Amino acid sequence: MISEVEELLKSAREQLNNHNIPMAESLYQKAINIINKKIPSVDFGQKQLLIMKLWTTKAELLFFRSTNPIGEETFEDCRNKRLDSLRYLYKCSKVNDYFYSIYHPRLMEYIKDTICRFGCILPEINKNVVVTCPIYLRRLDRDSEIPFHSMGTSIAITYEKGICSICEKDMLDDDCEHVPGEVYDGKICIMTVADFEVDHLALVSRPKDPIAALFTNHSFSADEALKKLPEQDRARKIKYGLPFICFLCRDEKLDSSELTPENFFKMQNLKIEIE
Amino acid sequence: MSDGTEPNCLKITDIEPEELLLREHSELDISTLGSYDLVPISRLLSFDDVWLIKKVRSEGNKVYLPNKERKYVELRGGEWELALTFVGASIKVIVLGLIARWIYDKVNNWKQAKAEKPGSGIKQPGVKIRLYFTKSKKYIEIEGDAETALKALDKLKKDDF
Repeated sequence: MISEVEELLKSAREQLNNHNIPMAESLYQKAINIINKKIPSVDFGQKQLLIMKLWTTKAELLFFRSTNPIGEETFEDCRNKRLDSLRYLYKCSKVNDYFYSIYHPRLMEYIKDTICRFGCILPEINKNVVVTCPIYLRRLDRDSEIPFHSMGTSIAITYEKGICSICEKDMLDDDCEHVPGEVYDGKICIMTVADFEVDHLALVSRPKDPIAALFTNHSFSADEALKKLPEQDRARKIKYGLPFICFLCRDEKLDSSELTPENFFKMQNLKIEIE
Repeated sequence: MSDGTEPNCLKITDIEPEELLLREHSELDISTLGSYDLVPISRLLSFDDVWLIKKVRSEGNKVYLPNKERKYVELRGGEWELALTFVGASIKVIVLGLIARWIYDKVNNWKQAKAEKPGSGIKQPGVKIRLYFTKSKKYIEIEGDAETALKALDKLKKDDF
């Protein structure tokens, strides 16, 4: 059965290469139908494999459909197909470590392509457009006198004593000859501290831990943003209830590879799971 | 000495030691400077300062800690700072080499953390270094990304002072 599906997929890809889109799609659908029919009648081990095959086939079909619109399909229809394709690949990558190693790199590559081709949705919450994308926030900081979005908190602690773990003398005593981090008779020298107090809490531009960041989003009025859109786009957005789209990465050729699949979906306020 | 092509995180200033000490509110006796190879003048010393002092001392160089009421400090941010340190000409290369190694470790740790947690937004560490070369009377400030700071140190090593 698997070989039959493989044959169909092979033919579908050939049809794709020949730009015979309707034929390619019908072959993909045929393969999906065969897998769907077979799944209930196989044992657990085979079922898992068949489900994976189903997901990857659907991902492939949706991916190619997202770049080959048929008839009246809009930009949004194509984007939705692409997002579903990514969701199927994400499911595949989450099955186990082995599948992760296969599908995660492909997923990352597709996300990059999706950002450049379709942009990212800027979610609207309470009449505000809310941006949480780290690339966008960094870009804002670059043009800003005060880099708010890079800022975070950092604590400073002072110690009265810094004791050498080897000789138990104060580290800076002339008698202590040990260097922190080096090994003496099989023991590593470390500085242990005593009598500490919190000195200050500082606002810093490089918090060591990203979760210490103070501002993790940027928002602006959706109405104001709407006014800035070209007349045609504005009318279309209102008529079809379309979201704002960010094309920063595409327009400025920025590297979006730092975005994980989870970040990518979360920052657009989209579900990552697919039924 | 300075050809004007320093990395933008590097600043080199000609200044008399008395003026610098005054600016830093230090009561260090200027005549003692000539007797020592390394003199960190700050009252607060970080773990990284301790490491540098101990390394320099372990090589047989003379280190003087003028502040008797010194304290240790630990900054929990992603910016690493060394105390203002007066450096004798004889150990210039050693000190710059040790600092480069120190920064190199920070860069490696950052790269490793970034690889382990892609997309977590961990930023490249920043460094702030202030050195005064007593013989040439050059005051060096390096402040910026760790990788850029490494380039600045490389340039300093080649400079003749």
